[in-house]
Amino acid sequence: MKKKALSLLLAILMIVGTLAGCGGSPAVTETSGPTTGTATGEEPSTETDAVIEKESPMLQEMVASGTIPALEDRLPAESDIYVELAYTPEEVPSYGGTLRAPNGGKWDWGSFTEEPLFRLLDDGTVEPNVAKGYDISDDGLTYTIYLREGMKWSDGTPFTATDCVYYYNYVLVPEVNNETGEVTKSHTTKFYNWYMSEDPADGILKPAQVRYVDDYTFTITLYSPKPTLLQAIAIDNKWMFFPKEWYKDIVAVDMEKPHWTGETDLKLIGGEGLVTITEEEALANAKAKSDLYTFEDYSMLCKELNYYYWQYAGRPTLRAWVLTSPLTDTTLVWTRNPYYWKVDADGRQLPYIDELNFTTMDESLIAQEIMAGNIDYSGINISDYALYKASEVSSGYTIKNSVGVNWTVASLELNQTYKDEQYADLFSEIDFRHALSIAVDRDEMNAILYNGLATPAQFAAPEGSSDYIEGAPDKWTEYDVDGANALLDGIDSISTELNADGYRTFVGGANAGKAVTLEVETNGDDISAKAVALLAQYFNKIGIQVVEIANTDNNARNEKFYKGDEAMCSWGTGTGIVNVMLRPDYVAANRNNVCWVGLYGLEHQNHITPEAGTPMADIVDATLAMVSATTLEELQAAASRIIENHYENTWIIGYLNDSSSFHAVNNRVHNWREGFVICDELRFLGNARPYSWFIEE
Amino acid sequence: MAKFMLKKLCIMFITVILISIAVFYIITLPPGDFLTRYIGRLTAAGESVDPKMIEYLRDFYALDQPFFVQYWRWISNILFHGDFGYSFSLSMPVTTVIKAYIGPTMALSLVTMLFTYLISIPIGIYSAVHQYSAGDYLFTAVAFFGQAIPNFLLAILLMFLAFKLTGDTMLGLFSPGMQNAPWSWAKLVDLLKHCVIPVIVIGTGNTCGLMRTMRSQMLDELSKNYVTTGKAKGMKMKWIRYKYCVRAAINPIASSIGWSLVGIFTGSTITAIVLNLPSMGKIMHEALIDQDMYLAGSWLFLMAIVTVIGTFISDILLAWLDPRARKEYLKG
Repeated sequence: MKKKALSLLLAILMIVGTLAGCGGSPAVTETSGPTTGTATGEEPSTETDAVIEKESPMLQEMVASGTIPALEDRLPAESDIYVELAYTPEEVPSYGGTLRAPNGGKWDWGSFTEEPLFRLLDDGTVEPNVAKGYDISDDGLTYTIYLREGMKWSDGTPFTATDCVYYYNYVLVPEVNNETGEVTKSHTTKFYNWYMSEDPADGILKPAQVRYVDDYTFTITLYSPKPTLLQAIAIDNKWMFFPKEWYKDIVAVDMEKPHWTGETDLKLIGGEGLVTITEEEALANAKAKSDLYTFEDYSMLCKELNYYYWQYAGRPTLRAWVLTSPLTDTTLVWTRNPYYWKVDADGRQLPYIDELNFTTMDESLIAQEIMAGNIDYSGINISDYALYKASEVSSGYTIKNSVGVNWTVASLELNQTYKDEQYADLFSEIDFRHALSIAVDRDEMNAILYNGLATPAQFAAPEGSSDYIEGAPDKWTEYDVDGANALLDGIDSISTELNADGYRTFVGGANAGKAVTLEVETNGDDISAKAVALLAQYFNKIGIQVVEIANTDNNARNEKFYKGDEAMCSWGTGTGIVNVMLRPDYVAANRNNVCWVGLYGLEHQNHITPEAGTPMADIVDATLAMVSATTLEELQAAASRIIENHYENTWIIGYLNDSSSFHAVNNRVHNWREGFVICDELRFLGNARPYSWFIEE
Repeated sequence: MAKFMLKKLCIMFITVILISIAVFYIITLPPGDFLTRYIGRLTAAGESVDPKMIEYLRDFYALDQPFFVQYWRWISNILFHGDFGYSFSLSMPVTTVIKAYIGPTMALSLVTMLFTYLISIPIGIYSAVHQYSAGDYLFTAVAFFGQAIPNFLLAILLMFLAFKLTGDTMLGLFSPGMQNAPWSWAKLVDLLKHCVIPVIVIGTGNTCGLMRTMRSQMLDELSKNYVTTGKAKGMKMKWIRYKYCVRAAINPIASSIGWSLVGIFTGSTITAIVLNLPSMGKIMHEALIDQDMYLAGSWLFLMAIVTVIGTFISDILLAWLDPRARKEYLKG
């Protein structure tokens, strides 16, 4: 069933981008028949349940005391309200309550509450979210984005196209070196620069032009077509808007200089009314706003207030809840945004839940807090599944399933650029990787590590994914010790005989006579330790020694990688890719902290170029081709090259895979979306639409 | 006495300077610097970092400068601007971090300290006076158990008990939802309820140790000649015990106050993690792991200062309690 759901959801990813490519078709969100509440019309004081409240009693009180305007004045114009049709609960939920969860860090509650301009859906299409709709010109160069009339920031100020064009022209792009696309002040991923496209006139990558049309319309104009622009915005630049009024005195700008776009009509680029602000003034102004915005230097301010803005109480947002506590609090409290612009099918303003609490706690405490009913949900590691299952009924929570996009949950990577050349050469032998793959009894490993809950599989896109290659998950998965030994016997650089300890040795070179020893780096957790102990047993049978290098400190590991001192081998416990074309992260040769690609990673500061004609050169080339693709076909072709390259070369040796991901959810939480796809691109739990959850004891 | 205190103060000042250099040296010892850590974290989160920005930051924080330049930058900001620097892992000024955690940490630790002394001293005296009685054996047994059980284990056991009895594990200092509620009677009761386990857990080890110390010191004193003399002169036994013996026996406890003070500021790290307490120990632990230079450094430095102040207080208390000590110091 799981597989079916996954296949259904991900198969449609195939048609990703066709939306963006086709052009000309106006797409507007389902805002049909919104029955906007007129809360003021109904007496808020009514005690009976018969009257369906259109807003939270908490907000009714605020309206009554005059703190905020009436509901219809807070919501967008009637035709522009976002109506959540798909996830409106069948019963009429009551408003209120507090949702309690462990604090999983800024990305955790960040994506939980996120409201992107465009939202990527499970099926890979793009839905206007903050935006109301869009049009694409016939030449594919101009995107007209429509906003929702009357929509407001959480502080009640109007949200308009100025907020979008101001963000782009004065915050985002000035931080980018226009010629190289490199970020100078804040940081944004270079690889996914959606705004850069090649100017056919001079062949230079240039940032898109973004212009104000009217308060509820703006345009994005590219130099050459980008087949997945909307997806790229949905994934990488979700928050393409900034409350200009709030930011105008804390974003440094020199109004004396001509604007980088050459535009002189400041209204069109969101610059109307701006005055020159130096970096020092910006820092001082931020600090004057609140002590929470005290930053050491301007680049820090950019990173924190401009990029990680949702961590800062007081910054107006468009989210369903707004943060009200400083980051140092043990419990971060989010309270409902009175100006939230979504309603359910009955016209009741969302969210249902009044407050979110994210409490900092050590990971070891989460299980007991779930069982004590002190927190309402948490993700479950597959290895803890039995523990949670045992108390499910007695402790009042339910284990829910969502669909992950894993390519593997247990894998071995061999560093192709390891500093010891003899090892690097050995790793580049495809027979060596083949031998390491078939030397492992995957069924036994599954039983020991995951209580048999995972599936024996090679590193590959699972069936149902658009990146699926038939047979790829089964490649080299048959347990065959003799076959593995035969493969190793055929490799010249290592001995066929075993030494006194029972290991093969290197023939010639600096390591001559020394046992072939794989130092496998792990994150030091129990399951990795067990896994590597198992590997040691299996590889013992083919004369290869295994040593675990437990490195519990993720930062230390990354630091080593970044410096070019990567591990020899690395044990992975999960790699998820929703769609290589949209986000090739772990399989493309771009990152600087990925073991298998090592120094071939294009972002690595000590980047080296693989020898031409090798399979590795091909994958680097395909990675570059993805960046420069201007048509959907080119992009697809480059992505396919990467996928096939992995299939042919098995750079990452996968042993087990599992696409389920589990959550323990307290029974007081209702309308939890079943079987949603959970991954970064779809914004993790945010994809379960928490604003449509409600609490009933 | 004034001369004695002045002398001590001078030594204190020099010690603090030396400590500050040592602290700064220690935090720059590990390979790499906080920027590489910072980059590591960003790349781990799937973000790229521009080398130019790193260069800029490295230059800004003088990370390429010699040790003493970096040190001077650090210490002069503390001395002249009260600025302890910036925590890179938390992205906020160190002073903000310290301000946020110092309250709960100190409150918890002071209550614990009070608990420790109020329990250990009377029991120690009782055990000594009633040596080998049933009560003495009982307290001795309890004391040995208390010292033998690791704090984190005790914490887990008590948490389990609390869960079985009340259905709540009593983690943290407040119940869910109480933390940000305005102060009220209910909130205070909630806080006190949540303090029970941490106070017992953090206090037990120390209490039991002090109990034993007090008992052996008292026994020592009780067998001394001045007690016999006092008795022979017809003084009341109670008077001898409380006026003379206790005063002498309490010396080692008074001299350990310096260390207790440090404990007050750090909180018990492991216990804090197990019980999810918002104490400074935990933050310090994370800062050290993250190589968050300014936060870790400031905290070590503050701890060192508190230790020095504690030692100073101990010395004064000792001198006040025991004229022999005062004479000794002045001579030496």
